[in-house]
Amino acid sequence: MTASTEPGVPDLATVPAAAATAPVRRERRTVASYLFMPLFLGLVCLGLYLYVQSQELDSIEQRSLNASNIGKALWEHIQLTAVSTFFVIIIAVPLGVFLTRPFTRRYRGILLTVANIGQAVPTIGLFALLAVLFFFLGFAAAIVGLVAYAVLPVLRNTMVGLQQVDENILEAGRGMGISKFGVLRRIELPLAVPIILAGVRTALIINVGAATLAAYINAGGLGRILVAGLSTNRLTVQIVGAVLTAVLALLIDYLAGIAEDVLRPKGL
Amino acid sequence: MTDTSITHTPDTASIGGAATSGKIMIKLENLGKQYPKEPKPAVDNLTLEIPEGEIVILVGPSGCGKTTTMKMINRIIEPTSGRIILDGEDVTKADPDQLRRKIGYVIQQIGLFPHMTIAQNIATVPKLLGWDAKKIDARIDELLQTVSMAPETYRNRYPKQLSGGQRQRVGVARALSGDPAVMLMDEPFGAIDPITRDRLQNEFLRLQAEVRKTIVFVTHDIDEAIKMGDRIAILQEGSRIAQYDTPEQILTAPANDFVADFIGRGASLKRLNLSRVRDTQLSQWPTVQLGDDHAQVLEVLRASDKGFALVLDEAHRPRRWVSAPDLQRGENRPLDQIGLPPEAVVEPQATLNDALNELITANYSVAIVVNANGEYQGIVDIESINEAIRTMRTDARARARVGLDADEAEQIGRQR
Repeated sequence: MTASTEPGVPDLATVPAAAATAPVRRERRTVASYLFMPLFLGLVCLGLYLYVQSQELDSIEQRSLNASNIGKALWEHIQLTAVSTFFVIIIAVPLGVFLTRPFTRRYRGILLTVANIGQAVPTIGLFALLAVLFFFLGFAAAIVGLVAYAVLPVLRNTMVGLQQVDENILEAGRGMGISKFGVLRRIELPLAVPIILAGVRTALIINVGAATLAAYINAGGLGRILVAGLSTNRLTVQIVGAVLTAVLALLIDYLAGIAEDVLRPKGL
Repeated sequence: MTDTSITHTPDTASIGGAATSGKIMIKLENLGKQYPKEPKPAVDNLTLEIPEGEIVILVGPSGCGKTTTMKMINRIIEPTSGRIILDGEDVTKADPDQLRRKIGYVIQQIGLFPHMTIAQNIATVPKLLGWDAKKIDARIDELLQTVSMAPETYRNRYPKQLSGGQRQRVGVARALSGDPAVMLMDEPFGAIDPITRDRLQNEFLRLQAEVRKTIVFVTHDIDEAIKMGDRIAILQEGSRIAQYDTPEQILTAPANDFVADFIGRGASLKRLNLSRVRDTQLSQWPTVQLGDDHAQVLEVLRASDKGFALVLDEAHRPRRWVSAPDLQRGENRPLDQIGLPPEAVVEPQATLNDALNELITANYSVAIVVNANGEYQGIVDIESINEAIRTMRTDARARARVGLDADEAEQIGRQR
């Protein structure tokens, strides 16, 4: 790794948060381990369904706990997560590429600090800020908050991923007459893919969790069910909201893991 | 050692004998590299001419600027002064990417692309040059065969599935892929174990005898330089040339103390590596035929000042050493059952170093020279090696003097 050692430029290793050290799995998983997670999550959902069925639901609970409301909340939640992660990727990956070019050395510190602030400020605080200061509410506001929160892991992993590529491989590429852009596109980025994907996976998980807070600024999601359960003091509703959020988070993590395995270049 | 032992020599075809056209392929003119904030230039006003089809070695101590010099030729490092003339064309300001596609490049760490198969690695430059797929495919197979790797086995493997030596071979194949006239090699065999290195060096020399590229080769190992180089440039700090000459000349007539120090002790022994038995005057030795009776042998021994005779069979192959005491002890036995078996047999293409090594360990301090059919040609003893060294010295001094005279004449010419 060739992280800058100049004073004033924070070394990537000292930036807080654990995503950069997310282990990059070397060997592919077995079929059994691929099947375990969906089976487990299916059982949890079944258990939750049977639990709710066994309860006497009052009218408030029935308003929350019906298939159409849960389905809608789930879909909103998936949209929040997917859209925010999409924006995180299209912001953080190019920015990470930009910040690892030699000529951007001097901006590196400032931009990393900004990204750090994004993650340091709690999402709920950011939502409140957007709502109170700018009267900015709803889906778009939620996306802004989530993106600000999740940019850092992808940005940092992109930078680490690019910087860990062996200098000699790059020199060999340049020495053979591949252009600078060609080296980036055909050598650096493919070799950084496993680490960038680990960052994206982290961002996804952060966004699934943080998206529950979007309910407070009227952006929907599973947080809506949770908040309803909390404000009406209905334990069953709270449990359903919490368990579904956890199941969704685990499912997305599982899918992201498969994506990592599939997208990792062969030969690494 | 058995009596059939024959010393094999490494197949180093191109040593000393590069048939060159005399054309200058690369010309460095007053080339310099000054890094900002450094007190002294890394490369200081270097002028060097590299003839077509030769391996020119840049050798020198760490930090002398040899790698910087090499990397300025394909402008991985941009020179701060001077010019680079490649095949008659000034490329100092040419598009570096276009330039590099015409120059093969091999580095010590090889730098194979780990996410690409061997075939894709080799195809890199041909693709950049816009060759069609069929031609690229054929080229990959041809090159893998050239570096002794079966294409059907290795084409679709990834670099991590290869051994260090195999990776180095692929590195060389990849550098040759665009059929460049010039190759730059930065300590290409530096990170490989000694046995594999020796084999790769020999393979590379054999390959070079076929392809005849102009090669600039950087190393810090003088022995490698002597083995691989048609010409060696010994560099001092700032890439100043201490001596630029053939290995023979550098070993026999070092230009100054720096060169002598750099070669180190044993220059004469190293020099023996560059001379072949066939190039020296062989001495003759008293010989007898296998069927001769003992009286005839004694007659031969009495007529010579040597204490023992060499017994040859019908095909003229050495079979036995016999001395007068041997004859007495084994009175009625045939000649091939008395005396000692002939050790230290060398072929004419063996180096004098091999011959010396053999004769030191042999019983009678004599190395027998036989041709490819095993027929006796003559012998090499310590005197003939001594004589060979003396001749080399005289020749080298004479050549060095001619060079000095030319330099002086040039200087006088300039002063006028």
